[in-house]
Amino acid sequence: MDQNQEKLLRQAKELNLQALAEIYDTYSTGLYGYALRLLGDPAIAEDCVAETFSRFLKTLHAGKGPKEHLKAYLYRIAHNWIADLYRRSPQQSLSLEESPELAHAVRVEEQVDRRILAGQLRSALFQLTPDQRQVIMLVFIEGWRQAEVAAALGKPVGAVKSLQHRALKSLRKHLVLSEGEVQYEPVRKLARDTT
Amino acid sequence: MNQSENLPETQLEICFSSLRAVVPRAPGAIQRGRRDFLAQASALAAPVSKPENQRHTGWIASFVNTLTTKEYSPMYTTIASFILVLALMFGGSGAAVLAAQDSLPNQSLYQVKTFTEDLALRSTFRNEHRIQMELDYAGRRVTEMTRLREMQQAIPESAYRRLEKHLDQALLIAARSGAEEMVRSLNQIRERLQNQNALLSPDLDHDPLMIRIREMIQTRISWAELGLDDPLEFQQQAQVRTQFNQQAQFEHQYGHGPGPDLDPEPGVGGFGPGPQEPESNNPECQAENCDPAAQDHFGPGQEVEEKHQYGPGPENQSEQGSQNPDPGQPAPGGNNPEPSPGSNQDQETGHNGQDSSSNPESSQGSGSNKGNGATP
Repeated sequence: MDQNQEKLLRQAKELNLQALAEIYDTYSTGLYGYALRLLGDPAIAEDCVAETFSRFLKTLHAGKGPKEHLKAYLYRIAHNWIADLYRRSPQQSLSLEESPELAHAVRVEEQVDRRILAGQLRSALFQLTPDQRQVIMLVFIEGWRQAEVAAALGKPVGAVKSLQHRALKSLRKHLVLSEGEVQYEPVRKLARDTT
Repeated sequence: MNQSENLPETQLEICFSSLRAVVPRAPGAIQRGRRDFLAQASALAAPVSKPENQRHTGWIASFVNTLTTKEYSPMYTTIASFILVLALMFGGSGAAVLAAQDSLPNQSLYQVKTFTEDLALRSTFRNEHRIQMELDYAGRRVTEMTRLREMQQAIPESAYRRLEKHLDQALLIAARSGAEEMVRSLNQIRERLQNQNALLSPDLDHDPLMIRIREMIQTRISWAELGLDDPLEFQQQAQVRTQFNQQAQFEHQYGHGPGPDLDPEPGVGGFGPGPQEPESNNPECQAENCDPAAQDHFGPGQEVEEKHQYGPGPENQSEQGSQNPDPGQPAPGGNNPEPSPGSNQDQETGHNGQDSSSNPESSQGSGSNKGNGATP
């Protein structure tokens, strides 16, 4: 951990507003994207970010909190919050109609395909275990290195690799078998378009 | 090959890419979130002292917070388990004790009731309180026996013996107290017993047991009056009586065997309705020339018996003795509910058969006891 982050964490534990503002500016947008990808709802993703930082503050105020890997710590809080939310109301965040991620799509047809695909992937992700889901999200969506993921999960790198392997296998299975050939079509179509 | 393996990396990557692109966060939302976050941090950072009324009671909120926290430490779990086990153990016992308080001598929970009473007596050390408790328990015994009789049910001998024990213990404790306290205690005993006697249902006056209880109470009233008139004599007799009781208890345990079990069965013996056992049924009196009084060391009419009575005094002797001139014989009449003199019940209680006839004062010449010396 670099000295800047160490200093930042020390100041944050003293509830230094400047340090806390820096932390928020650094990580809130990434956390929002992470929540939005998993939840598909901007309002709920905002809630997730607010709750994540609120829990972080309470932990600091209680004299606890991370000694290192602040980013991983914040993502773990967010991930747990999403898992709790999904446990409470599993159907809440999987609505395809509300998915906003297609605004950048150029063509309407591709936009529809991506919307369907995103919904399928999100459904398949929630069939995984929480740890597997987090590994897939952090490695393949957020682009983290495995060491960072290991820090976020509090597991060894070897365990993360193993989780990733099982998660991919399970994800393939869910994407193809459980969704069926008809819904698999957009993937092939998108692949064809990409190539 | 598994169908899932047909999904190539490129297509899987396409799936992931469908999630990567998200709508950028609205700047207003970022500013709002940041402001809320920093406001919360400021509130937490501000040193806040508790209000005046909470400064000394803050531990309550802290304790409640500890109990309601989401995650419990293993220590809390252990303590909670321990408390739960104790609650189950003693909660169950407490319920049994509570339920036993209304039980009657012929019911199974009665043993629990008497056990708790004994426990309470053993844990009471002040004479004044002890006497009070003995008298309270005596009152309970009378109530129990009256209720049983009203329900037309047999009354176990043990209930009667227990009543006798409570009264004697109260007198004995009074006798062992200092002069001033003894007078106060005897006055209290006399008053309580007079009230108890007055409260006995007149409807049951024809009942032998009620007669017997009434006589027992009246006897103890007369003993209390003796103590008030002549404290020294009362104390001497109490001392003799104690020694004799100890001896009787010792002989019961080590000398004399328990003998035949004379615990009356409901409806057969004891105080219950049903046929009375004739004197000749006493197994110890089956021998030739058997004299019930002479057979038993503790029976009425013998020297031993006469020496250990709380006699009301010589003035009563002629009056009461005239009612039954033979102190060695049980009182006449078919209503005598007592076991034969010299039974093991007498040995057990060590009461020397003083109440083992329907009219112990008259049949045993209690008036002569006082004058016959106090040597056991």
